[in-house]
Amino acid sequence: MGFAPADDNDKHLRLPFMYHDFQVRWYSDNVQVLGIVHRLAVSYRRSIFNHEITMQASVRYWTIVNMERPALLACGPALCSASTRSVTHELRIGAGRSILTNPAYLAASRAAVTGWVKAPTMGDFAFDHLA
Amino acid sequence: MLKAYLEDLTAMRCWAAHDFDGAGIRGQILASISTARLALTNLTVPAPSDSTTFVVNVNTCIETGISLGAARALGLDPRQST
Repeated sequence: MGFAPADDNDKHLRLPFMYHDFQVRWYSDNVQVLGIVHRLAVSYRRSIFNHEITMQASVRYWTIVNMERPALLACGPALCSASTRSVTHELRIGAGRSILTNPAYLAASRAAVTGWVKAPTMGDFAFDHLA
Repeated sequence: MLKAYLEDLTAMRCWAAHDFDGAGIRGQILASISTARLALTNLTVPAPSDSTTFVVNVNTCIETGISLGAARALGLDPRQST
């Protein structure tokens, strides 16, 4: 892709002079057309301009990162699984002081966001006490 | 497919050549291009005699000129002849 001289081994069509600039993109098959259209249109993709959503996401992310990173440095990923979670672990990562009624969910979701352990699955959450 | 893809990606109404119909079609095309947010034009068309070769499409060149004059974003897509 990109502009090429019109007399380059007869490879390209002889376009009008005024179109000989960087905006001309060459293609040879339909797949390249799709790629060109995607590259041009992706800068016009729809976005959500909601200040509240953006701020909530940013504050939540940085709060979680700054709270959990020191604690999780001392916790290997193997120690964060549901089967080996202990009361000491819950206290160390601060989950026991949360207002959430299910500390397992808080611990697992925070650890997943920070990227230090695997993403939680439904099996990691103890829902038995809610039944 | 490209039209549906563009509409889905940009959430903007996309007008292709076959969407213009009725009287004053040239005026409709002029107004649409000059007010468009993004104009994508194919500067080539298959040759009437041989479908494997492509020639410059004068009509789309004119439409591209309209876009240039209206200072719209452009994507000029000439097909590379093999």
